[in-house]
Amino acid sequence: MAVLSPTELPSDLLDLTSMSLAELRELREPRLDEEIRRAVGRVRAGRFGDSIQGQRD
Amino acid sequence: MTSGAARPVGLTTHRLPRFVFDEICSGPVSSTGIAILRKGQHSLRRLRLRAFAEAVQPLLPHLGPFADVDHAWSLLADAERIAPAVVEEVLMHPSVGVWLGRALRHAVGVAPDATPLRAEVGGFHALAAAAALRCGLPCEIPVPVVHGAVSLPSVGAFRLDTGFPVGHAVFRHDTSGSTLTALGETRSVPLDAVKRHRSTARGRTVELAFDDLDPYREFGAPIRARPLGEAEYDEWRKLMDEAWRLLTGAHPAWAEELAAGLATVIPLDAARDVFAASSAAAFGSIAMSPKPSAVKFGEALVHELQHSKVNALMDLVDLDDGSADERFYAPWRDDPRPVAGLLHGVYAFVSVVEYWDVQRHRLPADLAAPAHFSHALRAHQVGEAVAALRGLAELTDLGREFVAAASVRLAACAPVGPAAEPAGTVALLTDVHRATWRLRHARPDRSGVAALADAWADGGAAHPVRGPEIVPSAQSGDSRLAALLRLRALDPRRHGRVADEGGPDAALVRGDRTAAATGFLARLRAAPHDVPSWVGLGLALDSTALRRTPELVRSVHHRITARTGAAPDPDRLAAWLDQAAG
Repeated sequence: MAVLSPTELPSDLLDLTSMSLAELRELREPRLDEEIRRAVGRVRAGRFGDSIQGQRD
Repeated sequence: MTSGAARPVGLTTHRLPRFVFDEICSGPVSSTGIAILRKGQHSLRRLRLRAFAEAVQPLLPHLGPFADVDHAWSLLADAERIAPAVVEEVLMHPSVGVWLGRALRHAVGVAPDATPLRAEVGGFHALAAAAALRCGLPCEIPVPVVHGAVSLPSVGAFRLDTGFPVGHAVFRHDTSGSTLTALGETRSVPLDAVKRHRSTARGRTVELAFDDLDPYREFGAPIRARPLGEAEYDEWRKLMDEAWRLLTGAHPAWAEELAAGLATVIPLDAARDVFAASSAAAFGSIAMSPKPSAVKFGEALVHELQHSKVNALMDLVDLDDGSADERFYAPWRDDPRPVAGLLHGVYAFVSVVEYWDVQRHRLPADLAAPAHFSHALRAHQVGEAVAALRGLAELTDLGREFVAAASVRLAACAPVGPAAEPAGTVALLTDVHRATWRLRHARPDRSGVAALADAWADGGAAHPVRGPEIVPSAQSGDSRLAALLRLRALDPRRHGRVADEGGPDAALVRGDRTAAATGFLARLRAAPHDVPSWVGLGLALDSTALRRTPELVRSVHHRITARTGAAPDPDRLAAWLDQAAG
């Protein structure tokens, strides 16, 4: 993992934008597996990541 | 499936440049900042897509025509090889985020509603078909038919007129065009294309789609397309263009942010009781009801994009401990909210305060009253929420910075000009809202209520009790008093016509507190549970206990009535509890 500098804030979110979708489908990598498990776990725990913010008229 | 994964990939995590966080805290974000937030959302969408592809494997035998998920993935990957930017655009189409969240829920066994599994999972095939079509890649793939149409995200919808319900069709695309095969019949179906629009003013352009077709456009279960009529669409475009002229002229920094972040505007039915809405799953998408003016249109755009920013920020860094505990009072909402909800509201509404801070001075004096009112109301609400957030243990250090920055921005918008009347009305309105909220959702400590009832009966002194538990209630929060106060601020002429009508609410708005107290007491004798009467009485009496903890006064009143068989006078009881409320 890259070293963080004071000018950057750390994030747990994997950067998956630089690999192709073909690579992403095939990739077996413990860190990715862990993030997939976490994503599924959040959904199972009711944290769907789809909250709606709305205001009434 | 197509394999392209020969080389090892070194995974890294996103890093949020400090300057982007600082930009977010201070308000409008540059196009660079928006691009960084959007990149995080892109990663998240790809992660969820892979999670979906894994989780759906055990369900393949039940997916009928959509069982070949690998084929859909291969098509998507092949399209990406041809035009990666186009596939990114399709993946990042707001409705894809909504669909993906729902499909993932189906795949892991927590289906959001009764929408059939096949139709929802088949959305992946529609996504792949959309990418192939946009990249000019020949394809043949089954796609779901939802509400009589095949919808391809970011492309549009093919409405099938089969005269018979069908669940899927086969989409074929090649150099000669596109066809759909359903019920054994192949046809060339005209496409209702996504309505793309571009507004330009002062050299700045925003490109967006008015989405009236996509089944996931309203952030929930798939719904029928509602194509705008020509005149209706003209009106939406006109208001968007006018709002854009306003934003680029008076709010250029918000305009830069919108130019980078806005993706779709979802026209909602005028009958819907929604000013505007957005979803954490749909970065850059804003749903709104028709607006009477460009000023309101601009407000909705600025407000809702703030939620997209906060959602994307929260996907990158933690502002709070992630607790979903809904126990906080948000002055702009009738229901209890989690900490994240308060952070969202503070951030979005301080932007609205800044918006009105500029707008209220651009209007002629006779039209400025609603702008001053909106400014004062939102400023008061944000101030109250910021005060509640300060010192909350649930906030991270970044969360505290985020709140402190909102407080600084709010202070820079201190009311000036003819604000005395809005401020008075706003203070009353927020008192009404808070007291109503507490009476609906706050459950006083039972032993504390019993002790106070005993003290009253024994002629003792009132004493403080432990705070209440917050339990969300579906009880109505409607308030005639609040409606009259709003009317007085926004439409003084109409208010003048109803101001003399009877009832304690009107008396209180007129400033006749004695008549109001008498009226509310009479109502409470007839209906001791009546929420609006307890709220109104607190304001008429200026009772500290009733204004701060009306739920406690009401509960003690009920307890004494149950214990002694005689209801105490609410005004005497409130005065007694005021001694402990300090």
